[in-house]
Amino acid sequence: MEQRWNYLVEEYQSMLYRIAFSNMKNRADAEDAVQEAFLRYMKDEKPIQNKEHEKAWLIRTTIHICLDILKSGWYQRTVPWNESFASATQNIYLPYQVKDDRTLEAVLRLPVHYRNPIYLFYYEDYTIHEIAGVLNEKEATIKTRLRRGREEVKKILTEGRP
Amino acid sequence: MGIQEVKRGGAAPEYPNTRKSGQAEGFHERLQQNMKYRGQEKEEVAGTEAQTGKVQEKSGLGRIGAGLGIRVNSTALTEALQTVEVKHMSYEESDNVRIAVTEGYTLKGKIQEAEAQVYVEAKYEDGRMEAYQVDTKKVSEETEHAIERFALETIGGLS
Repeated sequence: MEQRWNYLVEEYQSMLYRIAFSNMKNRADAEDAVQEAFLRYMKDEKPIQNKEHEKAWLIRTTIHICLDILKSGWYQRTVPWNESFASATQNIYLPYQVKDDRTLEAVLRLPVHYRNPIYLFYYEDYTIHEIAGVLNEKEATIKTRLRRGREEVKKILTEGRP
Repeated sequence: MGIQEVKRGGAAPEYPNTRKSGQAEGFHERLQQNMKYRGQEKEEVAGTEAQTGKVQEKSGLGRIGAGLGIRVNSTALTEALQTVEVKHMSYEESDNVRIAVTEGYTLKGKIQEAEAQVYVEAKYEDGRMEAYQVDTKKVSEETEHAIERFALETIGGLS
């Protein structure tokens, strides 16, 4: 049991934390979401087919947990959205150098249906096929969201509107 | 009793949707007109695409094809740039990464064991992936080619 937990943490913690942070935009809630995803995985008795399936399951569950937290009335009453956003890009430690913090900030400002596909595609290097699997959407839908999301990012960067 | 007589006399009933003489010809004409307009629309779209391509070519991206800004087609290959098989290299394995969200692509570069060779992997918003082997010794520092510039950047030729 402990071995399994250690494996999960070592293998997926960083990636899941970044995905959670891109949704929650604050460290504490992102960590909570990741921890909850690991716990659900440990409790889940469904057989996991392979490593890719395991990874997709964890990402999907983490995103769902984040969205559930964000939708909850308690969260909306207690978290000042703008305040927590300021430090967003400083808290995502990607395994490579990001030269353009402004673009990442703009991505994090996108509505959730654009943000997750764009973040997974560009910053976690997922393919459209993988993103479609993780988000339970058709590949054509993901392509459309990537294109429209990119246009939104441009608007945020040029017009400064969220 | 038993036999009901049906009279067939009198005026024939007028059905509102019955085709009248001359209508078929009218429909045929309208169809022809529509087809003609569609043909014109297609020509206009083709013209616009050609113009867009020209604009992209003029925009400093060099010999770069239409589409998502940096797509390299066979005509865009230079002496220093060859297409190779995609290795699906991760960000962690890469020596240099460029994330161009607003242009719709990512680039990953890795310096190869062979001197001055850089492997570059491009992923586009439409799902396509392409890979190139760049011989940086043959690349001019003033190159406008996006892949060549990225290869130079990877090997440290550009700041």
